[in-house]
Amino acid sequence: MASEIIEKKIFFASSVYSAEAVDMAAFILEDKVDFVIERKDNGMEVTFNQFSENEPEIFANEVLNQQCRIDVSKVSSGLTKLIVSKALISAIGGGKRE
Amino acid sequence: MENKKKPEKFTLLFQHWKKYKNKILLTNDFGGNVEIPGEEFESICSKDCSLAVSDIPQELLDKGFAAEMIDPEKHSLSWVKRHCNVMMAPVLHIMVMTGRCNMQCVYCQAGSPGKQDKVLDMSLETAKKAVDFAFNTSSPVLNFEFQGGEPLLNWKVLADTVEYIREKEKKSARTVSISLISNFILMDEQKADFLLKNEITLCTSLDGPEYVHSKNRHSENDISYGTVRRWLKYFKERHDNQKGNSYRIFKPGAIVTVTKNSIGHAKEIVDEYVSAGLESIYLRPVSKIGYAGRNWNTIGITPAEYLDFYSEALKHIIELNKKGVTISEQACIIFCSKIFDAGNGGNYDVDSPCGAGTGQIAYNYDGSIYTCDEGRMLAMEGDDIFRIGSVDDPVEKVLTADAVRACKCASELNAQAMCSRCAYMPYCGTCPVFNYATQGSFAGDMANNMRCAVNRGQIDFILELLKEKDNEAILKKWITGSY
Repeated sequence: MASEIIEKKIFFASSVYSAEAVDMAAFILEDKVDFVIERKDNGMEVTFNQFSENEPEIFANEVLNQQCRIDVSKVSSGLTKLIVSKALISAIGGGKRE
Repeated sequence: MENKKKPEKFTLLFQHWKKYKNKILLTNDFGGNVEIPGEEFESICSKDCSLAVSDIPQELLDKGFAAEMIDPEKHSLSWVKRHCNVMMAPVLHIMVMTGRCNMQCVYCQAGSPGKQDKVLDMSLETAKKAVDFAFNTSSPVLNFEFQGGEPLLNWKVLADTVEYIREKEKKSARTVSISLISNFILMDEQKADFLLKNEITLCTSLDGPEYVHSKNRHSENDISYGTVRRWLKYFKERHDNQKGNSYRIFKPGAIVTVTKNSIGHAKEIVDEYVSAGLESIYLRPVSKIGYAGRNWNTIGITPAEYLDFYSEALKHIIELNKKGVTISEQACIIFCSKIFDAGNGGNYDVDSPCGAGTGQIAYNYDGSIYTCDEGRMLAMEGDDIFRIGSVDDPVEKVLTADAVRACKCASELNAQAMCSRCAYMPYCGTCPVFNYATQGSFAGDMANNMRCAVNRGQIDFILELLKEKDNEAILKKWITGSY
Protein backbone atom coordinates (compact mmCIF):
# COMPACT_ATOMS: atom_id res chain seq x y z
CA MET A 1 0.00 0.00 0.00
CA ALA A 2 1.48 3.40 -1.00
CA SER A 3 1.88 5.79 1.93
CA GLU A 4 0.22 9.11 1.60
CA ILE A 5 2.44 12.17 1.88
CA ILE A 6 0.69 15.09 3.39
CA GLU A 7 2.15 18.40 2.39
CA LYS A 8 1.33 21.90 3.52
CA LYS A 9 2.87 25.14 2.37
CA ILE A 10 2.91 28.49 4.12
CA PHE A 11 4.13 31.57 2.32
CA PHE A 12 5.65 34.36 4.45
CA ALA A 13 5.48 37.56 2.42
CA SER A 14 8.53 39.80 2.76
CA SER A 15 6.23 42.82 3.08
CA VAL A 16 5.31 41.50 6.55
CA TYR A 17 7.89 38.89 7.57
CA SER A 18 11.63 39.35 7.32
CA ALA A 19 13.91 36.49 6.28
CA GLU A 20 15.52 36.80 9.71
CA ALA A 21 12.23 35.97 11.43
CA VAL A 22 11.69 32.88 9.29
CA ASP A 23 15.29 31.77 9.76
CA MET A 24 15.06 32.21 13.55
CA ALA A 25 11.89 30.15 13.70
CA ALA A 26 13.57 27.49 11.56
CA PHE A 27 16.56 27.39 13.91
CA ILE A 28 14.37 27.05 17.00
CA LEU A 29 12.14 24.35 15.56
CA GLU A 30 14.52 22.40 13.33
CA ASP A 31 14.59 19.42 15.70
CA LYS A 32 10.84 19.35 16.17
CA VAL A 33 9.29 20.07 12.78
CA ASP A 34 10.04 18.61 9.33
CA PHE A 35 10.16 21.44 6.77
CA VAL A 36 11.96 22.84 3.74
CA ILE A 37 12.44 26.56 3.12
CA GLU A 38 12.53 28.03 -0.36
CA ARG A 39 13.45 31.68 -0.81
CA LYS A 40 11.35 33.42 -3.43
CA ASP A 41 11.50 36.99 -4.79
CA ASN A 42 8.76 38.31 -2.57
CA GLY A 43 9.09 36.10 0.47
CA MET A 44 9.85 32.65 1.88
CA GLU A 45 7.86 29.52 1.20
CA VAL A 46 7.96 26.81 3.85
CA THR A 47 6.84 23.32 2.92
CA PHE A 48 5.90 20.92 5.71
CA ASN A 49 6.13 17.21 4.96
CA GLN A 50 4.38 14.47 6.90
CA PHE A 51 3.45 16.75 9.73
CA SER A 52 1.29 15.73 12.61
CA GLU A 53 -1.03 17.83 14.75
CA ASN A 54 -0.51 21.54 14.26
CA GLU A 55 3.19 21.78 13.49
CA PRO A 56 2.75 24.26 10.59
CA GLU A 57 0.75 26.51 12.90
CA ILE A 58 3.43 26.25 15.58
CA PHE A 59 6.02 27.27 13.00
CA ALA A 60 3.91 30.22 11.81
CA ASN A 61 3.40 31.29 15.41
CA GLU A 62 7.12 31.29 16.04
CA VAL A 63 7.75 33.36 12.88
CA LEU A 64 5.18 35.87 14.15
CA ASN A 65 6.84 35.90 17.58
CA GLN A 66 10.25 36.56 16.04
CA GLN A 67 8.94 39.25 13.71
CA CYS A 68 7.24 41.04 16.61
CA ARG A 69 10.52 40.93 18.51
CA ILE A 70 12.40 42.38 15.52
CA ASP A 71 9.80 45.14 15.09
CA VAL A 72 9.90 46.07 18.79
CA SER A 73 13.69 46.12 18.85
CA LYS A 74 13.73 48.68 16.01
CA VAL A 75 12.04 51.06 18.44
CA SER A 76 13.69 50.02 21.69
CA SER A 77 17.16 48.84 20.70
CA GLY A 78 18.82 52.08 21.81
CA LEU A 79 17.37 51.79 25.30
CA THR A 80 18.11 48.06 25.53
CA LYS A 81 21.74 48.61 24.49
CA LEU A 82 22.12 51.30 27.15
CA ILE A 83 20.74 49.11 29.92
CA VAL A 84 22.61 45.97 28.87
CA SER A 85 25.89 47.89 28.51
CA LYS A 86 25.45 49.36 31.97
CA ALA A 87 24.78 45.91 33.42
CA LEU A 88 27.90 44.43 31.84
CA ILE A 89 30.11 47.35 32.83
CA SER A 90 28.80 47.20 36.41
CA ALA A 91 29.43 43.46 36.53
CA ILE A 92 33.14 43.88 35.79
CA GLY A 93 33.28 46.76 38.24
CA GLY A 94 35.72 48.91 36.36
CA GLY A 95 38.56 46.63 37.44
CA LYS A 96 38.18 47.25 41.21
CA ARG A 97 40.11 44.72 43.26
CA GLU A 98 40.92 44.07 46.90
CA MET B 1 10.23 70.83 41.31
CA GLU B 2 8.99 72.97 44.23
CA ASN B 3 10.30 76.24 42.77
CA LYS B 4 8.91 75.70 39.29
CA LYS B 5 5.62 77.23 38.27
CA LYS B 6 3.01 74.48 37.93
CA PRO B 7 2.14 73.97 34.25
CA GLU B 8 -1.36 74.67 33.04
CA LYS B 9 -1.35 71.90 30.46
CA PHE B 10 0.04 68.38 30.75
CA THR B 11 1.22 65.75 28.32
CA LEU B 12 0.22 62.31 29.53
CA LEU B 13 2.55 59.36 28.93
CA PHE B 14 0.80 56.00 28.94
CA GLN B 15 3.60 53.50 28.67
CA HIS B 16 1.81 50.34 29.73
CA TRP B 17 -1.83 49.64 30.26
CA LYS B 18 -4.22 46.78 30.72
CA LYS B 19 -7.99 46.46 30.65
CA TYR B 20 -9.02 44.81 33.89
CA LYS B 21 -12.72 44.15 34.44
CA ASN B 22 -14.30 47.57 33.65
CA LYS B 23 -11.22 49.57 34.58
CA ILE B 24 -7.90 50.40 33.00
CA LEU B 25 -4.68 49.75 34.93
CA LEU B 26 -1.90 52.15 33.93
CA THR B 27 1.75 51.65 34.87
CA ASN B 28 4.99 53.39 33.96
CA ASP B 29 8.71 52.69 34.09
CA PHE B 30 8.98 54.50 37.44
CA GLY B 31 6.76 51.80 38.94
CA GLY B 32 3.76 54.10 39.27
CA ASN B 33 0.38 52.37 38.97
CA VAL B 34 -3.10 53.87 38.75
CA GLU B 35 -6.47 52.33 38.06
CA ILE B 36 -9.06 54.52 36.36
CA PRO B 37 -12.56 53.75 35.04
CA GLY B 38 -12.70 52.73 31.39
CA GLU B 39 -14.88 55.71 30.41
CA GLU B 40 -12.44 58.17 32.00
CA PHE B 41 -9.53 56.58 30.12
CA GLU B 42 -11.40 56.85 26.83
CA SER B 43 -12.31 60.45 27.59
CA ILE B 44 -8.65 61.32 28.24
CA CYS B 45 -7.50 59.49 25.11
CA SER B 46 -10.09 61.27 22.95
CA LYS B 47 -8.65 64.69 23.81
CA ASP B 48 -5.52 66.32 22.44
CA CYS B 49 -2.13 65.31 23.84
CA SER B 50 -2.07 68.44 25.92
CA LEU B 51 -4.65 68.36 28.73
CA ALA B 52 -5.78 70.86 31.33
CA VAL B 53 -5.27 69.92 34.97
CA SER B 54 -9.04 69.68 35.45
CA ASP B 55 -9.15 66.84 32.89
CA ILE B 56 -6.62 64.67 34.70
CA PRO B 57 -7.02 62.58 37.87
CA GLN B 58 -4.55 63.92 40.47
CA GLU B 59 -3.13 60.44 40.98
CA LEU B 60 -1.81 60.42 37.42
CA LEU B 61 0.04 63.67 38.07
CA ASP B 62 1.45 62.38 41.36
CA LYS B 63 2.74 59.08 39.99
CA GLY B 64 4.85 60.19 37.05
CA PHE B 65 2.30 59.91 34.22
CA ALA B 66 2.63 63.53 33.08
CA ALA B 67 5.79 64.57 31.26
CA GLU B 68 5.80 68.00 32.95
CA MET B 69 5.64 66.43 36.42
CA ILE B 70 8.54 63.99 36.04
CA ASP B 71 11.23 64.61 38.65
CA PRO B 72 14.35 63.15 36.98
CA GLU B 73 16.20 62.53 40.23
CA LYS B 74 13.30 60.96 42.11
CA HIS B 75 11.98 58.91 39.22
CA SER B 76 15.36 57.67 38.01
CA LEU B 77 16.14 56.56 41.57
CA SER B 78 12.89 54.64 41.57
CA TRP B 79 13.94 52.85 38.37
CA VAL B 80 17.39 52.06 39.76
CA LYS B 81 15.91 50.61 42.98
CA ARG B 82 13.80 48.14 41.02
CA HIS B 83 16.63 47.23 38.63
CA CYS B 84 19.55 47.45 41.03
CA ASN B 85 21.26 44.38 39.57
CA VAL B 86 22.12 46.58 36.56
CA MET B 87 24.29 48.69 38.83
CA MET B 88 26.34 46.01 40.55
CA ALA B 89 28.80 43.16 40.24
CA PRO B 90 27.78 39.58 41.19
CA VAL B 91 26.64 39.28 44.78
CA LEU B 92 25.41 35.68 44.84
CA HIS B 93 28.07 33.00 44.29
CA ILE B 94 26.55 29.54 44.16
CA MET B 95 29.04 26.80 45.04
CA VAL B 96 27.92 23.35 43.92
CA MET B 97 29.96 21.17 46.25
CA THR B 98 28.93 17.89 44.65
CA GLY B 99 26.70 16.39 42.00
CA ARG B 100 25.95 13.49 44.34
CA CYS B 101 22.80 13.29 46.39
CA ASN B 102 21.37 10.91 48.96
CA MET B 103 17.78 11.54 47.88
CA GLN B 104 15.73 11.10 44.71
CA CYS B 105 13.30 13.98 44.54
CA VAL B 106 10.70 13.81 41.78
CA TYR B 107 11.63 17.23 40.40
CA CYS B 108 15.32 17.34 41.14
CA GLN B 109 16.74 19.73 38.65
CA ALA B 110 20.24 18.85 39.79
CA GLY B 111 19.68 15.47 38.14
CA SER B 112 21.64 13.97 40.98
CA PRO B 113 22.90 10.48 40.04
CA GLY B 114 23.09 8.91 43.51
CA LYS B 115 25.61 9.03 46.31
CA GLN B 116 28.38 6.76 45.08
CA ASP B 117 30.49 8.61 42.55
CA LYS B 118 33.05 10.85 44.30
CA VAL B 119 34.39 12.12 41.01
CA LEU B 120 31.40 14.46 41.19
CA ASP B 121 32.78 16.20 44.29
CA MET B 122 34.36 19.65 44.17
CA SER B 123 38.01 19.46 45.23
CA LEU B 124 39.41 21.85 47.81
CA GLU B 125 41.71 23.32 45.16
CA THR B 126 38.71 24.08 42.89
CA ALA B 127 36.69 25.45 45.80
CA LYS B 128 39.48 27.83 46.78
CA LYS B 129 39.84 28.99 43.18
CA ALA B 130 36.09 29.67 43.08
CA VAL B 131 36.33 31.68 46.31
CA ASP B 132 39.31 33.61 44.91
CA PHE B 133 37.32 34.30 41.75
CA ALA B 134 34.42 35.66 43.81
CA PHE B 135 36.74 37.93 45.81
CA ASN B 136 38.22 39.16 42.53
CA THR B 137 34.82 40.51 41.49
CA SER B 138 34.08 43.98 42.73
CA SER B 139 30.86 43.80 44.73
CA PRO B 140 31.32 45.05 48.31
CA VAL B 141 28.82 42.37 49.36
CA LEU B 142 29.39 38.66 48.69
CA ASN B 143 26.90 35.91 49.44
CA PHE B 144 28.21 32.36 49.11
CA GLU B 145 25.51 29.72 48.80
CA PHE B 146 26.61 26.10 49.22
CA GLN B 147 24.41 23.53 47.51
CA GLY B 148 24.58 20.42 45.36
CA GLY B 149 23.33 17.58 44.98
CA GLU B 150 23.63 17.30 48.74
CA PRO B 151 26.59 19.45 49.91
CA LEU B 152 27.03 17.59 53.22
CA LEU B 153 28.22 14.57 51.18
CA ASN B 154 31.40 16.61 50.59
CA TRP B 155 31.67 17.81 54.17
CA LYS B 156 35.47 18.06 54.60
CA VAL B 157 35.88 20.29 51.54
CA LEU B 158 32.83 22.34 52.50
CA ALA B 159 34.16 22.99 56.01
CA ASP B 160 37.65 23.86 54.75
CA THR B 161 36.14 26.22 52.17
CA VAL B 162 34.07 28.00 54.84
CA GLU B 163 37.23 28.59 56.86
CA TYR B 164 39.00 29.84 53.74
CA ILE B 165 36.18 32.29 53.04
CA ARG B 166 36.23 33.63 56.59
CA GLU B 167 40.02 34.07 56.42
CA LYS B 168 39.76 36.05 53.19
CA GLU B 169 36.89 38.07 54.65
CA LYS B 170 39.05 39.22 57.58
CA LYS B 171 41.66 40.60 55.16
CA SER B 172 39.06 42.34 52.98
CA ALA B 173 36.57 45.17 53.37
CA ARG B 174 33.73 43.02 52.07
CA THR B 175 30.53 42.08 53.81
CA VAL B 176 30.34 38.30 53.41
CA SER B 177 27.43 36.03 54.19
CA ILE B 178 27.27 32.28 53.73
CA SER B 179 24.25 30.03 53.37
CA LEU B 180 23.83 26.28 53.02
CA ILE B 181 20.99 24.50 51.20
CA SER B 182 20.77 20.95 52.53
CA ASN B 183 18.30 18.10 53.01
CA PHE B 184 19.77 17.70 56.57
CA ILE B 185 19.95 13.88 56.33
CA LEU B 186 23.69 13.91 57.12
CA MET B 187 23.43 16.69 59.71
CA ASP B 188 24.78 16.02 63.20
CA GLU B 189 25.62 18.15 66.25
CA GLN B 190 29.27 18.54 65.30
CA LYS B 191 28.46 19.81 61.82
CA ALA B 192 25.66 21.99 63.18
CA ASP B 193 28.03 23.60 65.72
CA PHE B 194 30.62 24.33 63.05
CA LEU B 195 28.04 25.84 60.69
CA LEU B 196 26.44 28.00 63.38
CA LYS B 197 29.78 29.23 64.77
CA ASN B 198 30.68 30.33 61.25
CA GLU B 199 27.37 32.25 61.03
CA ILE B 200 25.97 30.20 58.18
CA THR B 201 22.29 30.55 57.32
CA LEU B 202 20.66 27.15 56.95
CA CYS B 203 17.97 26.45 54.41
CA THR B 204 16.17 23.25 53.46
CA SER B 205 13.19 21.98 51.47
CA LEU B 206 9.93 21.30 53.24
CA ASP B 207 7.21 20.56 50.70
CA GLY B 208 4.38 20.33 53.23
CA PRO B 209 2.91 17.81 55.66
CA GLU B 210 4.46 14.35 55.61
CA TYR B 211 2.01 12.93 53.07
CA VAL B 212 2.92 15.67 50.54
CA HIS B 213 6.62 16.02 51.36
CA SER B 214 7.33 12.29 51.05
CA LYS B 215 5.59 12.03 47.66
CA ASN B 216 7.90 14.74 46.30
CA ARG B 217 11.12 13.97 48.15
CA HIS B 218 12.06 10.28 48.25
CA SER B 219 14.64 9.18 50.76
CA GLU B 220 15.88 5.81 51.99
CA ASN B 221 13.43 4.55 54.64
CA ASP B 222 11.42 7.74 54.09
CA ILE B 223 13.31 9.63 56.75
CA SER B 224 13.35 13.02 55.00
CA TYR B 225 10.27 14.62 56.57
CA GLY B 226 11.16 13.66 60.16
CA THR B 227 14.77 14.71 59.64
CA VAL B 228 13.83 18.11 58.26
CA ARG B 229 11.34 18.81 61.05
CA ARG B 230 13.82 17.71 63.72
CA TRP B 231 16.66 19.93 62.46
CA LEU B 232 14.43 22.92 61.80
CA LYS B 233 13.34 22.69 65.43
CA TYR B 234 16.96 22.37 66.56
CA PHE B 235 18.19 25.38 64.57
CA LYS B 236 15.23 27.49 65.60
CA GLU B 237 15.88 26.72 69.27
CA ARG B 238 19.56 27.56 68.85
CA HIS B 239 18.50 30.85 67.23
CA ASP B 240 15.98 31.68 69.97
CA ASN B 241 18.46 30.89 72.78
CA GLN B 242 21.56 32.56 71.36
CA LYS B 243 21.93 35.32 73.96
CA GLY B 244 25.52 35.58 75.14
CA ASN B 245 26.97 33.99 71.99
CA SER B 246 30.02 35.55 70.37
CA TYR B 247 28.52 34.68 66.99
CA ARG B 248 25.15 35.32 65.36
CA ILE B 249 22.73 32.50 64.65
CA PHE B 250 20.23 33.21 61.87
CA LYS B 251 16.74 31.79 61.63
CA PRO B 252 16.59 28.66 59.48
CA GLY B 253 14.50 28.78 56.32
CA ALA B 254 12.75 26.40 53.95
CA ILE B 255 11.21 26.46 50.49
CA VAL B 256 8.36 24.58 48.83
CA THR B 257 8.35 23.14 45.35
CA VAL B 258 4.73 22.96 44.23
CA THR B 259 3.96 19.90 42.10
CA LYS B 260 0.86 17.93 41.21
CA ASN B 261 1.26 16.26 44.62
CA SER B 262 0.78 19.65 46.30
CA ILE B 263 -2.48 20.56 44.57
CA GLY B 264 -5.43 20.52 46.94
CA HIS B 265 -3.22 20.96 50.02
CA ALA B 266 -2.44 24.72 49.93
CA LYS B 267 -3.69 25.48 53.45
CA GLU B 268 -2.10 22.38 54.96
CA ILE B 269 1.28 23.30 53.45
CA VAL B 270 1.10 26.81 54.91
CA ASP B 271 -0.01 25.39 58.29
CA GLU B 272 2.95 22.99 58.21
CA TYR B 273 5.33 25.95 57.94
CA VAL B 274 3.64 27.72 60.82
CA SER B 275 3.81 24.61 62.98
CA ALA B 276 7.52 24.24 62.12
CA GLY B 277 8.10 27.75 63.50
CA LEU B 278 9.03 29.17 60.09
CA GLU B 279 8.16 32.79 59.40
CA SER B 280 8.53 32.75 55.64
CA ILE B 281 7.41 30.43 52.86
CA TYR B 282 8.36 30.50 49.19
CA LEU B 283 5.74 28.76 47.04
CA ARG B 284 7.71 28.03 43.87
CA PRO B 285 6.02 26.11 41.04
CA VAL B 286 7.96 23.11 39.71
CA SER B 287 10.01 24.08 36.64
CA LYS B 288 10.07 21.94 33.50
CA ILE B 289 13.86 21.77 33.40
CA GLY B 290 16.04 18.66 33.55
CA TYR B 291 14.76 15.74 35.58
CA ALA B 292 11.44 17.49 36.25
CA GLY B 293 10.88 17.75 32.50
CA ARG B 294 11.32 14.01 32.08
CA ASN B 295 8.89 13.39 34.93
CA TRP B 296 6.38 16.06 33.86
CA ASN B 297 3.45 13.72 33.26
CA THR B 298 3.59 12.70 36.92
CA ILE B 299 4.42 15.97 38.64
CA GLY B 300 3.70 18.81 36.20
CA ILE B 301 1.12 21.50 36.81
CA THR B 302 -0.46 24.07 34.50
CA PRO B 303 -0.26 27.80 35.25
CA ALA B 304 -3.99 27.75 36.08
CA GLU B 305 -3.53 24.92 38.60
CA TYR B 306 -0.61 26.70 40.22
CA LEU B 307 -2.42 30.04 40.39
CA ASP B 308 -5.48 28.46 42.04
CA PHE B 309 -3.13 26.87 44.57
CA TYR B 310 -1.22 30.12 45.07
CA SER B 311 -4.27 32.31 45.58
CA GLU B 312 -5.70 29.87 48.13
CA ALA B 313 -2.38 29.73 49.98
CA LEU B 314 -1.88 33.50 49.94
CA LYS B 315 -5.41 34.20 51.16
CA HIS B 316 -4.82 31.77 54.02
CA ILE B 317 -1.48 33.42 54.85
CA ILE B 318 -3.13 36.87 54.95
CA GLU B 319 -5.86 35.55 57.26
CA LEU B 320 -3.22 34.06 59.56
CA ASN B 321 -1.45 37.43 59.62
CA LYS B 322 -4.72 39.10 60.65
CA LYS B 323 -4.83 36.69 63.61
CA GLY B 324 -1.32 37.71 64.64
CA VAL B 325 0.64 34.80 63.10
CA THR B 326 4.01 35.83 61.61
CA ILE B 327 4.26 34.24 58.17
CA SER B 328 5.07 35.90 54.85
CA GLU B 329 5.31 34.63 51.28
CA GLN B 330 8.48 35.29 49.33
CA ALA B 331 7.11 35.64 45.76
CA CYS B 332 4.63 38.19 47.07
CA ILE B 333 7.47 40.09 48.76
CA ILE B 334 9.40 40.18 45.48
CA PHE B 335 6.50 41.70 43.55
CA CYS B 336 5.38 44.01 46.35
CA SER B 337 8.90 45.38 46.76
CA LYS B 338 8.69 46.60 43.18
CA ILE B 339 5.08 47.78 43.44
CA PHE B 340 5.80 49.77 46.62
CA ASP B 341 9.04 51.20 45.25
CA ALA B 342 11.10 49.41 47.90
CA GLY B 343 13.65 47.67 45.72
CA ASN B 344 13.83 44.57 43.56
CA GLY B 345 12.93 42.00 46.21
CA GLY B 346 16.38 40.38 46.14
CA ASN B 347 15.55 37.96 43.35
CA TYR B 348 17.64 37.70 40.18
CA ASP B 349 15.26 36.05 37.75
CA VAL B 350 12.22 38.28 38.20
CA ASP B 351 14.12 41.28 36.94
CA SER B 352 14.79 43.16 33.74
CA PRO B 353 17.39 42.28 32.66
CA CYS B 354 17.79 39.12 34.73
CA GLY B 355 20.80 38.67 36.98
CA ALA B 356 22.33 35.76 35.04
CA GLY B 357 26.08 36.22 35.07
CA THR B 358 25.93 39.67 36.65
CA GLY B 359 23.87 39.42 39.84
CA GLN B 360 24.69 35.77 40.41
CA ILE B 361 27.01 33.10 39.07
CA ALA B 362 27.22 29.35 39.71
CA TYR B 363 30.44 27.37 40.16
CA ASN B 364 30.04 23.69 39.30
CA TYR B 365 31.99 20.98 41.14
CA ASP B 366 34.40 20.67 38.19
CA GLY B 367 35.31 24.39 38.25
CA SER B 368 33.09 25.40 35.32
CA ILE B 369 31.22 28.65 35.80
CA TYR B 370 27.64 29.17 34.62
CA THR B 371 25.32 32.16 34.28
CA CYS B 372 23.15 30.84 37.10
CA ASP B 373 22.16 27.59 38.79
CA GLU B 374 19.46 26.85 36.22
CA GLY B 375 22.04 27.24 33.44
CA ARG B 376 24.27 24.78 35.29
CA MET B 377 21.40 22.31 35.65
CA LEU B 378 20.86 22.40 31.91
CA ALA B 379 24.52 21.52 31.45
CA MET B 380 24.03 18.48 33.67
CA GLU B 381 21.45 17.40 31.09
CA GLY B 382 24.05 17.71 28.33
CA ASP B 383 23.62 21.29 27.05
CA ASP B 384 26.34 23.69 28.25
CA ILE B 385 25.19 26.74 26.31
CA PHE B 386 25.12 28.72 29.56
CA ARG B 387 28.71 27.89 30.50
CA ILE B 388 30.66 31.15 30.68
CA GLY B 389 34.11 30.02 31.71
CA SER B 390 36.04 28.38 34.50
CA VAL B 391 37.64 29.31 37.80
CA ASP B 392 40.97 29.59 35.93
CA ASP B 393 39.66 32.34 33.63
CA PRO B 394 39.96 36.11 34.22
CA VAL B 395 36.91 37.75 35.79
CA GLU B 396 36.28 40.17 32.90
CA LYS B 397 36.30 37.38 30.33
CA VAL B 398 33.78 35.30 32.28
CA LEU B 399 31.37 38.12 33.18
CA THR B 400 31.20 39.41 29.61
CA ALA B 401 30.96 35.98 27.96
CA ASP B 402 28.59 35.48 25.04
CA ALA B 403 25.98 33.68 27.14
CA VAL B 404 25.91 36.56 29.67
CA ARG B 405 25.40 39.12 26.90
CA ALA B 406 22.72 36.99 25.27
CA CYS B 407 20.86 36.53 28.57
CA LYS B 408 20.96 40.27 29.20
CA CYS B 409 19.63 41.15 25.74
CA ALA B 410 16.94 38.47 25.85
CA SER B 411 15.68 39.42 29.31
CA GLU B 412 15.68 43.21 28.87
CA LEU B 413 11.92 43.58 28.66
CA ASN B 414 11.88 46.70 26.46
CA ALA B 415 13.06 44.39 23.68
CA GLN B 416 10.42 41.72 24.27
CA ALA B 417 7.42 41.83 21.97
CA MET B 418 4.70 41.20 24.55
CA CYS B 419 6.48 42.50 27.65
CA SER B 420 7.35 45.94 26.30
CA ARG B 421 3.68 46.95 26.37
CA CYS B 422 2.55 44.80 29.29
CA ALA B 423 1.10 46.65 32.28
CA TYR B 424 3.23 44.47 34.57
CA MET B 425 6.53 45.12 32.86
CA PRO B 426 7.82 47.43 35.65
CA TYR B 427 7.39 44.58 38.16
CA CYS B 428 8.32 41.52 36.14
CA GLY B 429 11.16 39.59 34.58
CA THR B 430 11.85 36.65 32.30
CA CYS B 431 14.33 33.79 32.61
CA PRO B 432 16.34 33.02 29.45
CA VAL B 433 17.28 29.57 30.77
CA PHE B 434 13.63 28.65 31.33
CA ASN B 435 12.70 30.09 27.92
CA TYR B 436 15.47 28.15 26.18
CA ALA B 437 14.75 24.90 28.02
CA THR B 438 10.99 24.99 27.40
CA GLN B 439 10.61 26.99 24.17
CA GLY B 440 13.92 26.74 22.34
CA SER B 441 15.07 30.38 22.44
CA PHE B 442 16.51 32.75 25.05
CA ALA B 443 13.74 35.31 24.47
CA GLY B 444 10.99 32.68 24.43
CA ASP B 445 7.43 33.23 23.30
CA MET B 446 5.57 34.97 26.11
CA ALA B 447 2.14 34.20 24.64
CA ASN B 448 2.76 30.52 25.48
CA ASN B 449 5.25 30.85 28.30
CA MET B 450 4.40 29.22 31.63
CA ARG B 451 6.42 31.62 33.74
CA CYS B 452 4.80 34.61 32.05
CA ALA B 453 1.35 33.20 32.78
CA VAL B 454 2.32 32.53 36.40
CA ASN B 455 3.85 35.98 36.94
CA ARG B 456 0.86 37.73 35.39
CA GLY B 457 -1.54 35.70 37.50
CA GLN B 458 0.37 36.37 40.70
CA ILE B 459 0.54 40.12 40.06
CA ASP B 460 -3.18 40.17 39.14
CA PHE B 461 -3.96 38.55 42.46
CA ILE B 462 -1.63 40.73 44.51
CA LEU B 463 -3.01 43.96 42.99
CA GLU B 464 -6.51 42.75 43.81
CA LEU B 465 -5.47 42.02 47.41
CA LEU B 466 -3.93 45.49 47.72
CA LYS B 467 -7.31 47.14 47.18
CA GLU B 468 -8.10 46.36 50.82
CA LYS B 469 -6.26 48.62 53.27
CA ASP B 470 -5.79 45.80 55.83
CA ASN B 471 -4.07 43.64 53.23
CA GLU B 472 -1.91 46.53 52.07
CA ALA B 473 -0.70 47.14 55.62
CA ILE B 474 0.25 43.47 56.03
CA LEU B 475 2.14 43.29 52.73
CA LYS B 476 4.00 46.52 53.48
CA LYS B 477 4.99 45.10 56.85
CA TRP B 478 6.46 42.03 55.11
CA ILE B 479 8.71 44.27 53.05
CA THR B 480 9.88 46.32 56.01
CA GLY B 481 10.46 43.16 58.00
CA SER B 482 12.48 41.55 55.26
CA TYR B 483 14.58 44.41 53.95
